[in-house]
Amino acid sequence: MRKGCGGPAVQRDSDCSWHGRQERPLSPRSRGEHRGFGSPGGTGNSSPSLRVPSDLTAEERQELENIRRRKQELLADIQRLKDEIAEVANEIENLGSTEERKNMQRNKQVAVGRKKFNMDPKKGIQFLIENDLLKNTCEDIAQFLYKGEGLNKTAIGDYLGERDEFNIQVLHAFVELHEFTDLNLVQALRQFLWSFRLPGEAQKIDRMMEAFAQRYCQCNNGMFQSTDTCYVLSFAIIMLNTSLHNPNVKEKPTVEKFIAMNRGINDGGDLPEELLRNLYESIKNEPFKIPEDDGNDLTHTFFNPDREGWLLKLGGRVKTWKRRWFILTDNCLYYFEYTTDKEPRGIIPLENLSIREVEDSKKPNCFELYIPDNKDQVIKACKTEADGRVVEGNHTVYRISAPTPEEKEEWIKSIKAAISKDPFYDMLTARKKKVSSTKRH
Amino acid sequence: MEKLYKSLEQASLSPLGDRRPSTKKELRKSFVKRCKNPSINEKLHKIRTLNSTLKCKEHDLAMINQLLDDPKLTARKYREWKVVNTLLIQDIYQQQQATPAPEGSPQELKKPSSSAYVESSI
Repeated sequence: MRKGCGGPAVQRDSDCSWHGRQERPLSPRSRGEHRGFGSPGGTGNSSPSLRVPSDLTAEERQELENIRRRKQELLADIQRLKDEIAEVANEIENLGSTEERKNMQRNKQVAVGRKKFNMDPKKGIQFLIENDLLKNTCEDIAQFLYKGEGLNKTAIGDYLGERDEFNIQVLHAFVELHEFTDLNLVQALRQFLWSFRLPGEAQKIDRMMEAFAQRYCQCNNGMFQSTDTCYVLSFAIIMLNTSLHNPNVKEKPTVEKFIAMNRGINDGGDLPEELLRNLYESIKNEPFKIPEDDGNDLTHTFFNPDREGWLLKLGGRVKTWKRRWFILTDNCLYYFEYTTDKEPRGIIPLENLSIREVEDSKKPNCFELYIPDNKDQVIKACKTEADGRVVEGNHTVYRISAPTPEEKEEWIKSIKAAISKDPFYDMLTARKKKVSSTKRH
Repeated sequence: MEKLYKSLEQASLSPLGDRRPSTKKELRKSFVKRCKNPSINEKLHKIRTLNSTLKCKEHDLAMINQLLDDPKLTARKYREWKVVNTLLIQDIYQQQQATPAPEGSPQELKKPSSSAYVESSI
């Protein structure tokens, strides 16, 4: 899934900013490393196995030679980068821990496994399985997560939320370990939402809440007409919890409002008022206890971009094309001048945006980000000006050109997957339709 | 229920109560500050830049291999490849020209004609 960068494919234009190298020019590393490679004597010695087309000019033969040399340099660069990455990753892993790794007894291995899990759940589980500390079955892994000893709840949530078939099975096994019989919905939610930290991504939340609703209905047969009802009511309760207890929300919903907003949610019918009243009171008296994100979580912090590479971007006010390194991650598009820049030049959150292919008179392989139904609205984004100020973006659309048609397709696909409306929002829209179609008079 | 949702959105909150980055400052911060521990934060960014650079180079390598590994390479194919990979070629030539310089002297800076720099004005 990690595809390579966009690459240097577009021809020069006077309004296009090229820099021709990926690292900032003053980096001494980029000069020092390139010396000492290449064919001995720098003459055009071709390696015997290589076929050189016979109709090349002499200059072209030399070019090919240089290209071959470049290949060797790249291979060395790549190895060096990989080594450095491994080194820094190791440093992070070791930060704050004692030198226990030398002494690999079982307990210590478990501790190491937990630590690895908290940084990267998949790797942690792999480690524990490889060291015979965990069985490779979804039941066993679910037990491990449910017990959660020494495990970071954000990491647990991340693992359970993954799209892989196996992770989904683990999620179901995990949910089965929860006993919801004779608990009201709020009590069940309290238990569920405390056992891990619910991830932020819409699809993940959707999967997990769907699993929850199924399990709850399984344990409390007949309370709701359908799993959907349980799902919708659960969201309503979650939002109620936030509204009632977060100081930023000015208008607190009353119990009457809560009852009214849930009309028709039981497959067109209403739920008993007393039930809703009880749920309301329960939340009002005691908010959900949700695992904190204490800011030291390593799980979320490692960058794991969906895609990155060079793309051309058309300016907002000044219509010039600029080449930027784009990174798609965290439901946002970040772009940089150089791959080595620590801070992005611009940030485009993808929430509520749409994407479409477009034809451009100047550049090939274009697509655009836009706000559907509102073509004059400025897209919420930010960027850094030359003088260092951070300002709001001024685009109503972002027009982008990819180096090849294939890369255009891939970027569009990845961005589409990342653009997500809230499941809450989707659910609300679907619900509106449902209620209006089963309105009773 | 939609009203409830919208009121949360207005308060810059997710339905679960997390603060959503809404101002430009918050947007930047959520990217830059990924961990409370500044030393780890630094390293996370380091790894990110290394990975991006790695991807970039792997892509260049893939482009070159497309050319060099072609058993039926012809002059015409080569020339077509050059057009598609103009930037890569430029990069190689800048490199070669810079090689004889002693370490530490920013040779590349003295080449205004090759437009080696990104416009910094936006």
